[in-house]
Amino acid sequence: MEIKKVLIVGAGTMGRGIAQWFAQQGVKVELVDAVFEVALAAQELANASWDKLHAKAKFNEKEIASFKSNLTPVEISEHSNDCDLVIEAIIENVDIKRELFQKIDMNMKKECIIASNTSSIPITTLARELSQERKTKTIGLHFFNPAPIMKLVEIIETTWTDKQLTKDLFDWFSKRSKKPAVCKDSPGFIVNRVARNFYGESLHILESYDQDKVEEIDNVLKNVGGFRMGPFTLMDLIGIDVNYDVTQSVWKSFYNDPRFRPHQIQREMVESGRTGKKVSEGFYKYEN
Amino acid sequence: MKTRLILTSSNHPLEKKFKTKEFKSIEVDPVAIWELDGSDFEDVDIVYDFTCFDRATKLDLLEKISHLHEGEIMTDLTTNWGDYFIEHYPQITAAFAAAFYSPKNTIEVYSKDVEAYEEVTDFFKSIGMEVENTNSVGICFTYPRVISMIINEAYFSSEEKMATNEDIDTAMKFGVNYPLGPFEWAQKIGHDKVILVLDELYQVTGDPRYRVSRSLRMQM
Repeated sequence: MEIKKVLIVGAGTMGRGIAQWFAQQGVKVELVDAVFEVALAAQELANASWDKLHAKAKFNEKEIASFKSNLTPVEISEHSNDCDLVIEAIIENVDIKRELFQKIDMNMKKECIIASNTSSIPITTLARELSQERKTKTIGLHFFNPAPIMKLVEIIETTWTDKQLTKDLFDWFSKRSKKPAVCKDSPGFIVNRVARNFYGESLHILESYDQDKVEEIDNVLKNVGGFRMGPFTLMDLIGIDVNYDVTQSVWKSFYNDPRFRPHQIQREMVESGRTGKKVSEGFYKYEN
Repeated sequence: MKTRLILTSSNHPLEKKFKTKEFKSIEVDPVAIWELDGSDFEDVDIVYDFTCFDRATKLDLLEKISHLHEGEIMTDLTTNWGDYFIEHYPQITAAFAAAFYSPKNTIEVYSKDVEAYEEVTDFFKSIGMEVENTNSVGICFTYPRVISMIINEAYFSSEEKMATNEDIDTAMKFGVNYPLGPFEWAQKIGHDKVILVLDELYQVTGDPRYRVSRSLRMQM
């Protein structure tokens, strides 16, 4: 499999990270966003990140120059149509994503793979209106933040995805220091499903809000379980509202299975505006 | 110097540590608890119970111990409704969750007072383990409960052929930095103990969220 040119649609945190990682693999990357200035700002941030890595001697000057030349912000109407792979990392809205996929299907060369970085929308829903040939080349590629560092890429197959494509992508990522994991197009994929009860069961243990108990649960899971962060610290970092939305989405997708049931503490935290570190208050309080 | 008697069960991960001359220990057969007699407890100040049983068997055992021994009991309640035992057996001065493998070699410990805390902490340090103090036991402590739910979900996912066990382990280690994948973790802990925790949670709460996946039960 050859991936020489990639189009990344969406220059937010995930899109920028994915673009940065591909550029580091020697792949030519076009980065587009609905607002061109966002793509330009993403390029600046990626360049600043590479300069820091250069200062830390993680890469030499020649490598950094090559990475920078590989990443180009492009006006959305001016991207190339001969890319080998397109990855969308835009807003989590099914209608907007489907419209984008259909445009790419019509305009991009027929060999191009179309992928979504969605964490919650079924890839099947995005693929079903595409041409028959393109459906076999449509797949989920779910990266984790920060994309240049986190090794996992979930490769999500639909019922139409060509199995050889899955295998080729698995090998391609494996050769480039990523750790791919293949999964079916099932709600939450692997991580957002299996990790649900890191939060959910911790909330059930907490039962009702108690600051001492919050700290105790965090400490136990770090110091006994060996998790990097306790669940409440992590929810504060992710955003309690974001985590609550994902919980509700997975719960609904599994027809209200009680294993995924959201907890009333989550709702109380969101309704009171205590949504985590970004607002300086969640399960913990933070200095501005 | 307090005299300690250690009770173990063959499924407990620390059982081998206590089979040396350094410790006075008895392996408890869950179907022959009646074999314990008063002579086993003569001159014993503290009973350390390192057995890992379901609630009914644990109740039989603690009932027996409380009849034969008047001193303190420090007991492993990893797979049990700890609050219930602590409420019903005043001799329990400390409880711990040592039946689950910890990647940090650290044990969750509850103690009723400072003396009990010092005793149990010193004891675990003497066998090379750290303790993490908790103020309540609840049902099956914290770490066993959370990791059992994660493992159960991994088995549900595998049962539905959502991904291979290997890919699920990879995803959890490299996507969210878990120290082990859930299937590797289940191997280290022992499937029997994960099922004991989930069954206890289900029986105490009646909540179907604790239903054990068929493929996890199949590991037995």
